[in-house]
Amino acid sequence: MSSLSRRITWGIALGQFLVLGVGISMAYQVAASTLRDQFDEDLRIRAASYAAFIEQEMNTLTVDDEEIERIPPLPDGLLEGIQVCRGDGSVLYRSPALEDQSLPGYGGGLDTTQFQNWQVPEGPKVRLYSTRVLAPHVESSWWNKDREFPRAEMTFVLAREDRNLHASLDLLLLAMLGGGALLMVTTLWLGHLIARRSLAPLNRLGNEVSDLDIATLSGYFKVDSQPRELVPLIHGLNDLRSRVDHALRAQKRMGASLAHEFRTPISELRTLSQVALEDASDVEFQQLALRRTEEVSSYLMRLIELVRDLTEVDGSSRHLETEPLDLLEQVRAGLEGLPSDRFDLAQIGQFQVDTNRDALRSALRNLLSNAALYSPEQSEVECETSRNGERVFLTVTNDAPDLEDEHLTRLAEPFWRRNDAREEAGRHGLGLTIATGMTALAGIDLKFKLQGGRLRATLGIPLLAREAS
Amino acid sequence: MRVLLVEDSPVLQEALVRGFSRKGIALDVVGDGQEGLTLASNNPFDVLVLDLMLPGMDGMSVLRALRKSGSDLHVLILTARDGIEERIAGLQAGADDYLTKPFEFEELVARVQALARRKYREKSTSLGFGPLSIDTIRQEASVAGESISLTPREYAVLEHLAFRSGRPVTRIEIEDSIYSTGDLPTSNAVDRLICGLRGKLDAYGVKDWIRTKRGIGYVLEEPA
Repeated sequence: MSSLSRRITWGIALGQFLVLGVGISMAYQVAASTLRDQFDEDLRIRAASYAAFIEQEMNTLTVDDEEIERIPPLPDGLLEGIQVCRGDGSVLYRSPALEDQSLPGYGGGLDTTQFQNWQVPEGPKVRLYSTRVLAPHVESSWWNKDREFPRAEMTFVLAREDRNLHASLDLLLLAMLGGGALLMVTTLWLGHLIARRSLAPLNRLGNEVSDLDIATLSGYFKVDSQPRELVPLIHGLNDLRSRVDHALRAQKRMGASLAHEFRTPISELRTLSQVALEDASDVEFQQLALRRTEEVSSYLMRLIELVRDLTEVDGSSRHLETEPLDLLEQVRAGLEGLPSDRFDLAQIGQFQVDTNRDALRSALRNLLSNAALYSPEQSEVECETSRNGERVFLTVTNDAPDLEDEHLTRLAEPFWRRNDAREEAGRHGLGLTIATGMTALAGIDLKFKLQGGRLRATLGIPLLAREAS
Repeated sequence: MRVLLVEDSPVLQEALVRGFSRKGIALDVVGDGQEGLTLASNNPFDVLVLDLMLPGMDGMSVLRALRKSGSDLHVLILTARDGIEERIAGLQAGADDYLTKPFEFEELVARVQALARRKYREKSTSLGFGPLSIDTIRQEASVAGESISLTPREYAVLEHLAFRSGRPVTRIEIEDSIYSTGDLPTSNAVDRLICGLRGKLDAYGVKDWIRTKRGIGYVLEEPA
């Protein structure tokens, strides 16, 4: 059982316990009250039967035992008895079944009734029905025909053993608790079953996630036939999967490209040394091989330094030191060694920017040299500036007939080339990657846009505070 | 044997030119894909050694263009790309062999020689002509187990004639096979090489195997 389905089941159990507890309690109260009322009603009717027999006796303040005994006894041998007292509390009559046990008195008013529970000392529990009545008028007597005696006040108590009532109530409680427990277990089982079934798609999704490896990462989790609640989660997972896959592919490409970039110079060194060693008498070639070895090792060092720079800027959060710089001056510095006649700088305004010198120069150098290299010869590269708020935007625009929109996101990827043709010997394909990383650390935005066959690379550079204001 | 190397690394170019030259293999070198395609299409090379990442035109495009034009030139791809998919793609595009960088120089030479032999449908690395035997791996000729001292170019001429034994070969053809484009041989360079070769073979009792076909060139065949 998964933890989640256990929690849901326990949640159902708790909820059910509360609902059933309150429900059973209330139902028991209602049923018990009905049974007691029924019992009391029977007691009242029974009392009426007694009253009918003793009514005629009351005015004489005597009770005829024989008359009382004519009332049929209770069928199950339960204890039952009455007690009739005079107004002063003296007992007029007490049923023999009560064995001289004095029943409690009655504190109520005339013609009112009272029910109460009472424990017979060393006997059973009984239910008492008590009332206070006035004896009927004594209309005549032989010794004083005309005189009307005051009516005597009498207390009548009927005691009846309520063992059966308690047994019924206990049975009722037991039945309710048993039924409740059975209902609870059944519901829990059903709840658990439903929870497990409901959570099965989540479980399957979890298994699919845990089964993912590099080979299957590029696929997608299916959304069809999945519960609606899981769809956002699946979309999120697919998005995450896509991003991880993209990152892994980029890393793989980076690794393969790096290996590729190292293979050629290593191949050069090996071939040079093997050919040089093959003929010890060829001193001229040995000298040449040594010179070339020096050049190739320098190239390798530069490559290693670039890779180190790349790993330093990639994912770094360090902030680069900024300083006030003249933008036009920096652009001119970036053009060093490039065919300056191809660059139109007329649209560059005078701006003082506040950024990192190395990051800006690296970005400018890469953008300007790439613009010259990857645009048709003799075509012009336009540089222009515009200002928006606290930033100045420098845009370098060049013809890029072979470039397509899908290439834009990969321009700054390590070792990326538009096609397999090596455009210029000695270029590693890392410069723009490093420049992009550095510009990000220096707070410079770099964006590419393709418009009408022309590539627009825009640098958003923070202006110096006094210029911005 | 004449080989074209299309490779943009000047260092590799220099090393391979020197190494192949010592083996008596004429190596023409270009660093641009487009230029390589033009040269390969218009010259009788035995083998083309082709890098994939090239300026101008990438190696795969060069190979496809060659095969599309009907060329049956034997092509060896020499590249830093070592992925299995790339090897398959290269071979499926029409390459005869695939070697990844970094490589052993001797292995490259052996593979180039193997491709050259395949061109002449010669599977054996040892060719026999009467008492004369030619070992195309060790690049030496011998008579009764005794090695004949030949210069790389003399060996190249002998091997060229041996692969075409019984068939007359023109001077131009020999010249093309043993000199690379940058070399500037004199007008009688081939005749002088044949003369020197005959002299050395004669000294080992291998007489009249290289015969002159007047107005045509030379042929290696059993003396009448």
